[in-house]
Amino acid sequence: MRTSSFGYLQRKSFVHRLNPLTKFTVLILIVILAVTLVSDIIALCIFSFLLLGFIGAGISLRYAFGRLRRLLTLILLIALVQLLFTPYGAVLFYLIPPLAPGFGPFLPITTVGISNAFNLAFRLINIVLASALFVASTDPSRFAAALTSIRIPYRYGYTLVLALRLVPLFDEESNTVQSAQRARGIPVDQGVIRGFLRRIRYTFMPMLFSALGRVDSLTLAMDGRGFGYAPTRTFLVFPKFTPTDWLIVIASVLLTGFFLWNFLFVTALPHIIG
Amino acid sequence: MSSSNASSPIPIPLIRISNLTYTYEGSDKPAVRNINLALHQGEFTILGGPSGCGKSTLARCLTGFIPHEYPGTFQGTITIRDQDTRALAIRELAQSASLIQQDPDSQLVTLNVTNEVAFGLENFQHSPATIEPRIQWALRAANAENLRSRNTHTLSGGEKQKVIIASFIALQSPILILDEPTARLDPHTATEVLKTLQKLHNQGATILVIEHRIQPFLSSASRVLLMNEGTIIYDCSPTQLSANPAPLNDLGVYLQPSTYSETIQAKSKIEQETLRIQGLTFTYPRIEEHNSPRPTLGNLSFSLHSGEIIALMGPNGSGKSTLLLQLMGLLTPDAGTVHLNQQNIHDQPVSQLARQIGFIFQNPLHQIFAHTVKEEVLLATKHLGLSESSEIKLRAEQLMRSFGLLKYQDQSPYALSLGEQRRLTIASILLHKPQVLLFDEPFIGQDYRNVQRLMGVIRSEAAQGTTVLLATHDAAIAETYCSRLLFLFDGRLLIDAPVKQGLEHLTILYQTRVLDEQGSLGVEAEE
Amino acid sequence: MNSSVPSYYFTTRDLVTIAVLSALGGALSTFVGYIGQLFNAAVGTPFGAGQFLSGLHVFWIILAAGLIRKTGAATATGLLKGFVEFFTGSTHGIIVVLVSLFQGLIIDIGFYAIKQQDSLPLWTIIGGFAAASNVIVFQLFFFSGAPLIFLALLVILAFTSGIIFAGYFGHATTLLVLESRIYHSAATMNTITPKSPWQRLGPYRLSALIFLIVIAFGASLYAVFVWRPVLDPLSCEVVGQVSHPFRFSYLSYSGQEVTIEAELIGSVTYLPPQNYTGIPLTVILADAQPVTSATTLQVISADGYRAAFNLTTVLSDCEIILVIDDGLRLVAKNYPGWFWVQKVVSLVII
Repeated sequence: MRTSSFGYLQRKSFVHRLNPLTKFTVLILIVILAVTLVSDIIALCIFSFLLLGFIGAGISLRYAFGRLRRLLTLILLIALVQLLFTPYGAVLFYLIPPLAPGFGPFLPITTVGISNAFNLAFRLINIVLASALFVASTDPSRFAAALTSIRIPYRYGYTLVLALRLVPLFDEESNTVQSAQRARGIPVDQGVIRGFLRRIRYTFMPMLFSALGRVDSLTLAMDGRGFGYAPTRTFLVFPKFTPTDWLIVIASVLLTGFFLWNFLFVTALPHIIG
Repeated sequence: MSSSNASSPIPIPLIRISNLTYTYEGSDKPAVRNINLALHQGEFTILGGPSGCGKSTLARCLTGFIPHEYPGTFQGTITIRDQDTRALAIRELAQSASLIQQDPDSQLVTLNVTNEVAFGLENFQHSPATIEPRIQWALRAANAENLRSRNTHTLSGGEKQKVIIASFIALQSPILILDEPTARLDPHTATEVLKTLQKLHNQGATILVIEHRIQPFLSSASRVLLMNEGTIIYDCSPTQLSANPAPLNDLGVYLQPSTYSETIQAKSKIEQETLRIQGLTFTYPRIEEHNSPRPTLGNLSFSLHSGEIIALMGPNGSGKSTLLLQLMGLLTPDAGTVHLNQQNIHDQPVSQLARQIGFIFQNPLHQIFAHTVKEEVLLATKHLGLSESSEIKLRAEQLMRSFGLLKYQDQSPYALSLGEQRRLTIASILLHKPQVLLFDEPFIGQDYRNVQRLMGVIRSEAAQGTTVLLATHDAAIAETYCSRLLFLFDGRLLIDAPVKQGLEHLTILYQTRVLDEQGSLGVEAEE
Repeated sequence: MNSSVPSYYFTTRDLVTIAVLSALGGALSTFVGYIGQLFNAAVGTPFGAGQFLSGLHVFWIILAAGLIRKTGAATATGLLKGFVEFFTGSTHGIIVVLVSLFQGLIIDIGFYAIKQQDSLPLWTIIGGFAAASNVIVFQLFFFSGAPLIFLALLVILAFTSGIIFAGYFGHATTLLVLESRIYHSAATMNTITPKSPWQRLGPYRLSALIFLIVIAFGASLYAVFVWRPVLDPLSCEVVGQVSHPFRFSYLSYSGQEVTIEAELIGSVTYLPPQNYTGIPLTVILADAQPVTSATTLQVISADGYRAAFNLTTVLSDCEIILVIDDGLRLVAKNYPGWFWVQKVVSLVII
């Protein structure tokens, strides 16, 4: 059966102990860098940094690359689009040679195209790996608790916790519903469009109604334990912001700032101004 | 927790209800009518009555959920510790009274047990230093200390129930209300929960338990309330009730198995074999490291015959549902075979098998697919190749009539009540007269009258040769309606015997602690 | 109520509803991905079904908005659903949060604009836009420079999917939920009838649906083949049979302008002789290095208008220049007015 499950992997590592907000900041900075800077060197730097992160978190690189394997098609697609449709740069060769006088050649492979294919593929790889590292090393409950330290009301953080708590339950129910379809003899795999529509409806509707039937009870179970009694609450264990966390946040902000400054004022702007 | 005891000379009323009448929005009949009641400090009250008599509505009123969360007409007053429930928010009332509802899966809100038990205490802004000992106390009281470091989604049904009880009692609010706390539990776990309640009561808690089956609670309770059609019709002590149990039968409240009016006779003539299970072995594949432990089946062999009604019992997580899924062909065994009429069920697709085997799932919502009640009953004509003849239409109408669904036939099934939805799923399976019926805990939350009604239909099907396999925790149902008992334990078939002998054997196994407290086999069982 | 506890914009019930729908969306996204693969296999395409089903992701968000009826509910659901997928290990990582948040935002803006009305046509449009937005977000990240036809196809697919699965399906389901007794909502639909919403797809609504799809399709086609977004109005590409296809900005040739005097004689327009300053095409074409077998130069404008020149003649003619005049405009001294292409975006050598 297909089940989604949590990405969190329980370990006792340096990366796991970091404050969730620290890791989230680094994640966001990596995304910003990956998106703004189109540079082979920086892409490879981030990639190596992330591999070190996985090692530091005690998570095997096989797990990391396993995540990427599921994305292989998309990575190839992104690279291919750049490779085939980048019209700038020196032409190395044509994919389709001239077929007749005046017809062809088509699809030039250019130097800029190759570089773009590499960069955009790595942009996806780096964003996905950074996300996977964050998720694998961060207990969502701690993340939700930590959100209160940046003044996000705990009721919202707990909405996330509640949603995550329900996911395995709904996974199980989704399996049950699909079993029930077969047990009722409903041919969900016959006919392309109709089959799919039937499959969607016969899965979504029972799941939805069964889930909404829980809303009353969940609401009462939360209010009945004082949820929202006061605008703030205490936490049995609250993720502290340690000097290490400060160090990492400040260092990564400075580093990102430097790269961006360098890109904007040293590399790119003179080009633009010309 | 208050130190005062049930034996204090002048009972202090904690809750006072005066002239309470409440009607849900869109309903023309009050759900509770003209209720006057005082609940006192230290009482252990059991509240019984048939489905829809207003028990759960009363519980919602007591904790302020009505009228705060439900629109409707609310008349009269309820005070808890002299505070009007209408004047305070639910979050404040929660400090005085806790309501533990039926389904723990609809109440757990966090990812691990520690956070769950700490949840309420944190909301009420207790300091971490006071939270920690409370968690320990609550888990110990609920007999759940060993679960402390677990993730909530890996817990079994019984374990979830214990954790949710712990998370509410951690608040130490003086009044604890439980709505059917044992309905989903096997008898062993149910006993544990009862012990927990006794412990809390001895420590001074005021407890109100709402149940269809009041018998197990009578020895602990100090007061019995019975409701019918929205009013309290009986208010007495357990001893008074035992002396005169007459009102119970009329109300459809279980007292003890012997009060059932009818007992089925074991089949005399040897019937034809329908299902044969040989060496059935199965383990769920482990997909991720977070998966909850799931039952395995070890080398099961038995046969089922036409006309038999067989009870399938066993503790939570012993593999009952897994076995039923196997018999429906929804799971493929690692080893062994299942034959229906001498034919291996895996030689045909499940959608074909569905003509001969009907499956009723635990939650009716999981198997309702059509837009209207009538379409749902007739679904088999669409997908199982049954012709929509006038004969079939007539049978559909008969089924809807006998299940009280005819008046809803053009309505959306989702607009029905849970009990009606349960009946609808059974009606829709019975339409095409499958040879074998598999039921997975169909009677949770159904009162005796409903059980009686459904079992009446099931028995008449069996009399025509249908094989019925019924997974249940309820020994009383097994004893009354079934001829044979299969008892699963840890995926193994521990008992296969006529129902009376089987239940006796089971009692001995528990008494001699062959099945020990932790729910594992103390010594190797021999057949 | 004279209690001392705070009251909140989103009640606990609202938050629970948001959590339940986000969790359902998250849990079923695996299922949706799986049937997407099945669909791809059935149709025989390597991808695309993802977009065909993209409305199913928006469905949960629009449902939350329909049940809660408070501005912000959709954004909250989108954000939360994104985080649920993120934490359960979505293959796209943090991007999914952004995509989902954006979808919620569009629905909130849409619902705010229509004042939370229960209008099926409006819901379908909102659903369409929300579903299509995922293509744009993805494009911003990973497909910059991809051919517009490719993006437009995905947008059409996603928009249609949003119309059906988010708008229509979402509207019908909201009605169904509000009619059932299972969920107490503050919202009441003003069109409640005892009929099943699945039967309500009357001829009027069906035609409205088809009309919307046709409009969306037409708009997308126009976007692909006719209208080209020109981010830098002074930029132009040189493509086709050249050794060095490239895109240039007028500014990068500053310093190489020449000034000529020319007279515009068109079939309708006439401009008396005057001075024009611009870059000679010969300079630009020299940088592109047309291959020797090339014969024709096509000058294409942003609105799709094109004029064809004999390449050999152009290469020896210094009096064809690109000038700045509401974008780039071709001034071809020795040619009639219809060769003076306005808003030039592309030079194609054939």
